[in-house]
This record gives sequence, C-alpha cells and structure tokens, in this order.
Amino acid sequence: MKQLFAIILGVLFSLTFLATELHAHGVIGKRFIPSTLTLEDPFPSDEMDLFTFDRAPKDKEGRETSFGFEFAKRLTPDLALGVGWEYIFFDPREAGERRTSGAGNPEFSLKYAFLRSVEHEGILSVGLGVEAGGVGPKRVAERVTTISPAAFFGKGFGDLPDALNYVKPFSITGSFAVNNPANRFTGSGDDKERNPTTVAYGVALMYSIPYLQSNLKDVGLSVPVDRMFPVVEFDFETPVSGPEKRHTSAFANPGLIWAGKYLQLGLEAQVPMNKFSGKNVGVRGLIHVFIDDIWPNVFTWTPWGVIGPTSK
Amino acid sequence: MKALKRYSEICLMVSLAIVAAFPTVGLGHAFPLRSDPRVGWTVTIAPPKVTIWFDGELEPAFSTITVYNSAKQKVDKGNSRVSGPDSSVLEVDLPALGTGNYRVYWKALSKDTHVTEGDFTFTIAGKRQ
Repeated sequence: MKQLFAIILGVLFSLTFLATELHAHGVIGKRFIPSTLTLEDPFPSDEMDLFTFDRAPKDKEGRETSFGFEFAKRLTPDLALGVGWEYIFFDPREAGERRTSGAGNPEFSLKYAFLRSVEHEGILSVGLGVEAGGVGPKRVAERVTTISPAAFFGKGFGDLPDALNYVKPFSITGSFAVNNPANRFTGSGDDKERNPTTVAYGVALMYSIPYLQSNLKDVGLSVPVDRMFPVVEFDFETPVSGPEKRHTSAFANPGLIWAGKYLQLGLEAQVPMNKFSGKNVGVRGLIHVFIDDIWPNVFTWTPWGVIGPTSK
Repeated sequence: MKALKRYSEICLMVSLAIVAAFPTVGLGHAFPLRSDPRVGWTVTIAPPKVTIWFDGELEPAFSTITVYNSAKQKVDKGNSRVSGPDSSVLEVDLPALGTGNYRVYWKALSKDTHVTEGDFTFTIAGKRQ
C-alpha cells in the first residue's frame, strides 16, 4: 500500500508538470492574496501545495500529524478542479494503543468564481469538495465518503477612504462548507460508527506589506520583510447531527506568509479556543510553488486551449 | 515510513530543481520593488520623471505609467516606456510640476502575459530639480 501510495504521488507530480497550469496565488486588481494555510482561498487557480505539514493539537482521541500535497488546475478562467492527499501519523491518547500511520483519503474539489470586482478587490466563489471515503486504511482514514458544498469570499480593503490608508493593506477571506457524509452509519456491530453532518466555516485576516509599500507608503522595509503577510485565521467546525451536536471546535491560527516571485512559504500556530478543540498548540506549514510563473509556456495548457494567467 | 521518505525525497528533488531554475527564468508576475519618487513620500524638489523598478521583465507594448494631479488632470509627458538592461524599469517624464499632490497609475504586463497594476501618490513641496 505504501509503495502504491509513493508511486501514485510520483505519477501525480509527473502529470502536474506535464499537463497542467499551476497558479498559486490570487490577484484581483492591485491586490495580491496569497494562499492561506488553514482555509481554502476563494480563487479558482492553478496552484500547488508542494508540501504541507500539519501537527494538530491533541484532542480526546489523540494527536494527528500529516504531510501532504494539493494541486488545482483551471479548466476555464473561473473554474478549477483540484486534488489533495495526505500521509497521516496518529498517536492514540489511550495507553496501550499503538501509534499508526497511513495514506489518508484523496480529496477532490471543484471551484467556480461567479463574481469578481477589481475596483473593490472582491471575489465570490462556490465549490464542491469530495473526500473519497474508504480509500485510505481505516486506522487513519474515514470509511465514509463526504460531500461538501461550499462558498468562499475574498475582499481587500483598498477601497476605504484615504484617511484609513494604513488599514487598506488588510484583506479578509472566508469559507463556509457543509460536510455531508454519504452514509449515516458505517461498519457494523461493535465497529459501527455514526457519521455526523458538520458545518465548517472560518475567516482569514491578513496584512499585506507589499500592498503597503507599493501603493500607500514606502516605509523602507527590505528583504525579506517587504514580501511578508502577517495573518490570523479562525476556523470552526460544528456537528449538526449525532451525539456531539453543537460541540463546535474552534481554532485561532496566527502565522506568517512570505511570498516571493516563485515560491510561497507559510507557518501558523494552531491554538485551540475551547474545550472541544483539544489541548496543546499545533503547528502548520506550507511550501507553495508558483509553477505557472516559472514555466508559463508549459503550464498554460487545457483540453480547450490555452487560457492564460489567473489574474484578471 | 518508506512512502513518506520517498515522498519527502520527491518534494526535495522538485524543490531543488525549481530553485536551480530560478536564476535562468525571468518570467512571472511583475511586482514593483521601489520607485522614485518613493511611494507616499513628499519631495522638496519636483522630480523630472517617475520611475518604478520591477522584479521581472516587462512587455513594453502593454506596460504603462501615467501621472495625474489632484484635479485628476493627466500631467505626464505621455512618453511612458520600459527601460533598463533587463527591461524591468517603467518610467515617464514629467513637465515642470508645481507643488501639490500627484497620483501615479501603473500597469505592468510581464513577458508571460501576467498583468499587475497599482497606484500611489507623492507630494511636491518645493520647486523642480
């Protein structure tokens, strides 16, 4: 299974480089919004998380650590398909249980931007996510397939009055998704599990130092600070059915994103905000590569012809 | 663990390949590095031109820079151009400008057709250089 996983990863990477246009960031008007680490961003884009790292806070079942990748490919300027996969390590909380690991379920996504406002630096998108249940081993992966319709938004504050110049570099993005399990129950007997429907939502607030220095006031910051984006993301998930109904998990994720010309790096802490969110602070990291910026002539292909860069 | 090791190796190799390719590739979005006059600054001597340095090569035909005064009248000489040894500098000449606030609008098309745009102000508090 592990060898198969490694082979699939290798093939996917190869396909990525041969046949897709990847764009790792969203540009709308003069606003550049880098990909956030915790929440899905609103931009349908050609993007790839080359490497993600996630060490979650310890919850009542144990602690999960995962490494993964994700990439998305636009089929039209406003429509993108994506796929992501993780390799998961799980440390059970109960004594006597062994640490385990394995490849998680693959996740597929579809995202469509139906409204953009260059003037107001705004974007609205809808999406559909599918986690293919049962693909990964049950010791680390869900056995049920989950279907998640979602909505996303993004807004830069650049249209504020000039009196609020130092607020203009802020932008906010957010997402709202309903995670519907395909089956209410999986397994049987003692192994039977109830699969609750959950609502996941959150917002990310970030400050763009490049926006400040390029559009408002050159305050003299130099490399590497001049390309930094301090960010805080808040994410929540609420079961709306099952015995844990309304036990909302909530996290604050303060961090820093650095976006260079070809590469984006990000690091965030995961701070539990209530008793349902576990203990200890987790950490999340990201290496993002702007493939279409590096090899645009290679990565501008679609089955329907070349569609050009993501920015509009 | 073996799969993870393989995955890490693949990521590392891809990353190294990309990093190795950086110096030889001059494409991608073109974002401004700095400008003269500096963004949001007040100068005591009126500048003869506005210059913006970008982090990538620009397409001259579709990269523009214009300057407006506080009455929203275009005041530059209309000779916006791309210059510099690596075509990464955008500039436009200015006539003898008086004191006041000015706004610079720029639009940059990189060689691979990515578009970036922006605007900024500067203030003249003295006479032309």
